[in-house]
Amino acid sequence: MSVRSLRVPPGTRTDPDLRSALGRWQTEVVAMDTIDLPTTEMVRLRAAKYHDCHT
Amino acid sequence: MLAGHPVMLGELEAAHTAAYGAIDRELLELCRVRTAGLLGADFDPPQGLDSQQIDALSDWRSSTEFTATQQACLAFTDQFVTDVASLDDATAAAVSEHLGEEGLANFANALLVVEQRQRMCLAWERLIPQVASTEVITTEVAR
Repeated sequence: MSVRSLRVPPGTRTDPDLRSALGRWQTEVVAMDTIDLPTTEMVRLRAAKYHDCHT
Repeated sequence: MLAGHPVMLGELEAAHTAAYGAIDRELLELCRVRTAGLLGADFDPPQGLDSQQIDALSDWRSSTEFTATQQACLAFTDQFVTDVASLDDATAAAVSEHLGEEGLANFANALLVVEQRQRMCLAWERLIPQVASTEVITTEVAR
């Protein structure tokens, strides 16, 4: 993984409505059961690696 | 496809609405239309934008139609859409300079929502066009 600088300082507040809506949407996506869990996780990890996501 | 998942569809719609509530509407719409152009996802007509800006958007770097804030956000959008992992510090800092640190975070979140929605629409159109054209894109997820 690459080393990146911090673009936004810790503690920076974000719009609570957007943050909440984004969280609820992604929670619903994860809860979908059309695709089995191992495949879902494999796709998630592939996307995270491609996007260099460190979470 | 999502018609069978009304809760998720509702949350996507709510996130989309919240995105436009968190960022200047015209600014986010400009970046949404730019995203659509980059992805070839021409599903929704531009709303509330100056026609000269719309015409200049495909070549915005050489245009004088855009403010410094808009240019910073369009540069961020271009990198975000084409290769988010390579988005450089200077591009992010330029947005922060104009919108503030909180604004940068909100802009990134809002852009994520509108970009993902367009990518989903595009995937549906390519993979399952009969669903994309009749059920979801222009009706249930309408802004």
